[in-house]
Amino acid sequence: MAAVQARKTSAQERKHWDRKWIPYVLLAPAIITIVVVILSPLVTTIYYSFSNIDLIRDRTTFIGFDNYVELFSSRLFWKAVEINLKFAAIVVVVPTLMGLFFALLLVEEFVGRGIGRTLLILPWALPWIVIGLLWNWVVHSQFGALNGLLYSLGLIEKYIPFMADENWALFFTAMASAWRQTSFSAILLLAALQTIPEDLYDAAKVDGAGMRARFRFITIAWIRPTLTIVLLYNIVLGFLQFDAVWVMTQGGPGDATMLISVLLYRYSFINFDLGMGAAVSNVLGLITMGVGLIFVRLTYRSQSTYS
Amino acid sequence: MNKRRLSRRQFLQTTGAGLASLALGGVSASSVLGQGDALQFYGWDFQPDTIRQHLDNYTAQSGTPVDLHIIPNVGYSTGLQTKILGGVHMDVYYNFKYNSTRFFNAGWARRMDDLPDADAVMGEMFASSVPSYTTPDGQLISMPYFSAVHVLHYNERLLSESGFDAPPQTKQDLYDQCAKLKEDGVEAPYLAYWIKEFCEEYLQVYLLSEGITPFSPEGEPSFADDSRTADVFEWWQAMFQDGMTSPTQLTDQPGEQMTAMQNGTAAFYVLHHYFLKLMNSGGGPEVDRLRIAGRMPGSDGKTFQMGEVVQMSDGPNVDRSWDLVKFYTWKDANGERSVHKSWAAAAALGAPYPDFYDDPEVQANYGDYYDFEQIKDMFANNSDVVQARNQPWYSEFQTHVGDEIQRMLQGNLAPADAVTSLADKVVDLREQYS
Repeated sequence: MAAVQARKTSAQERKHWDRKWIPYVLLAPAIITIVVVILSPLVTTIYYSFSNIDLIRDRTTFIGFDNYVELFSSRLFWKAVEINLKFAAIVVVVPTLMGLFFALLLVEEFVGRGIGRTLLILPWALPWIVIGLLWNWVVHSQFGALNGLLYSLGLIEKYIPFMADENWALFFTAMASAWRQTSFSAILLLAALQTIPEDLYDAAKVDGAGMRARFRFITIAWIRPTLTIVLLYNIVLGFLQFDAVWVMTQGGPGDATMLISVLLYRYSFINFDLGMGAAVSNVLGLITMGVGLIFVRLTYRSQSTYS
Repeated sequence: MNKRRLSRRQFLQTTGAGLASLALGGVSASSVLGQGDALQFYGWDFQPDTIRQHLDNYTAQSGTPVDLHIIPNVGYSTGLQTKILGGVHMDVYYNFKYNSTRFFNAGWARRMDDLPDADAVMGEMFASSVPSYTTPDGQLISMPYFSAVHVLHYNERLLSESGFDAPPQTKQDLYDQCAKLKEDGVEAPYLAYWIKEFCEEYLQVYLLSEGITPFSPEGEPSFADDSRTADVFEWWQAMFQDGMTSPTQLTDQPGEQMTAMQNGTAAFYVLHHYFLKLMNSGGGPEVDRLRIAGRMPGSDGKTFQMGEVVQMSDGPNVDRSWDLVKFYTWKDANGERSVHKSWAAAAALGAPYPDFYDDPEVQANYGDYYDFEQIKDMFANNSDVVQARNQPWYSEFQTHVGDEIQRMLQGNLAPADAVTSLADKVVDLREQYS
């Protein structure tokens, strides 16, 4: 009897232990991953941004806000902020609108829709470096496809050296990014559009809603969460794009395409000034987060207005 | 049939143990690879098959196996440094010259002048090339992967049709010839690789050709004390602003520029001497008319000698590493410069040894469009390596040169202010790194 009682108690204790600790044990892999992959680099970057890191002598000295003071007093940084805002505007607006356009087109049934959908994925499947090289050729001043097209249409008399002009250089590096991002945006939006029940449109028609009203109050309202994600992705890319721009211009000509990410790369991996690189990285992270939050807030506020 | 059910827990335990053993196996395998008999060689991805072939030849000759690791060109320095900081051992590696002293000071590269044959190696080089591989106090810290001189390539036919029987001798001549060529229909007469990363090489070329000493060996900015520097910068700006170059010159790549030379839409091209071979190999209607001028336009006519290097680390493999370095950058066991010769065949890369250019095999590989006495003379008497480029702060200066020169070319910075800005940066960096 006593043995049975002891076994029962032991089983209860084990059950109690399980209840208490098993959730932690199960969560541990996720928590460890978050700490190792996200928190630890974040804390290290913040610490580095307040330090002078001498890689040669393997010495790290705490210097307070010196890196930030140097950064904010640098002409190039403010130029990079200005350029990045223009770049981001193109990379947010163009892919979102074009992505929506292609998604609306490819959700309809027509002959060749399958081919259209396959083509839509192609830019997204290309690496950024290839996109940069490809667009370099598109806008090339002697052999570029764009110049060839404009010339054969009779719109220009001689080829235009697009990348020699600061505004065109910024525009086309942004367009190279927007091109691939359009594909990605369209894929997400197409998936969202396919989930809209047809009954909603039928009911709206019965209620007398016109095409514009149906688009605004059914299509856009339904895909709003996906649209928010697309916008957020595009904002992040608008501030964090690096590869294609580096391949196309390395930040030039002059400062024309000097994005904050290019500045970050130069500080960290050409000058090996990891302290300054970390400071730029934190500022870039805050800008991206700030702009992203504003957009999400605006999107959801207008959603609550509808509801 | 006895069917045994596998519980979720058992499955996780089994697969977890399996994955762990695989991971541990991987770790131990990679450790073994890092410490085994094979030497670890790191290089960038210029013709990796040729590098592999060289290393195989070395193994056949010495019996020492060598593992080759390729890091992409873009971000090579970063990749190399990150690996070293992460504890990866490398015995021998390619490096950019501007990083050589930085790596040496950090203890990642070993001095070589105390190793057997080092005196012979330095003794065989062009005297002008030696400072490129040594510290100001004479320690040998790197060896030549390849060497080149910046030259003025020109199209003899285009010049002749515009009434010029010789390439320009001074910068004013060059400007005037370009203006005439442009008038005669050559759209962008003068090409040079003025992307940000390369502006610094041209800074050296243009200063040296006027007889201006760019830096003292310790890295003091001597160029700032010479009033002719501002004149050079004014000429440089005028060449771009007045349309003597391609308007896209600040972002164009050599591939595009070579095509323009091969097709005759450009008449001059300043870049490393091996580009003549690359242009000839590529073909095109004008390649037979392309020549190299014996001097760089300027009052002194001197040019800039560049090249990249091979370094080796310290440790238990020093003797074998040095043997490999000598094979790769000097001579093989038969006394042949087989690696340099192979690079000459593959891409006309040069070497800083006078006898290299006398070798019939090298001459055959380069092509009969080269004047070897001219190239040798440029290396020996008419070029400078600018030893300050080995200083640890130099890469940061290089970035600044790219920014400021491009701003100046676009008309956003006055030439005199550009000179001041560059000099101030040098002073600032030297202080930071002291």
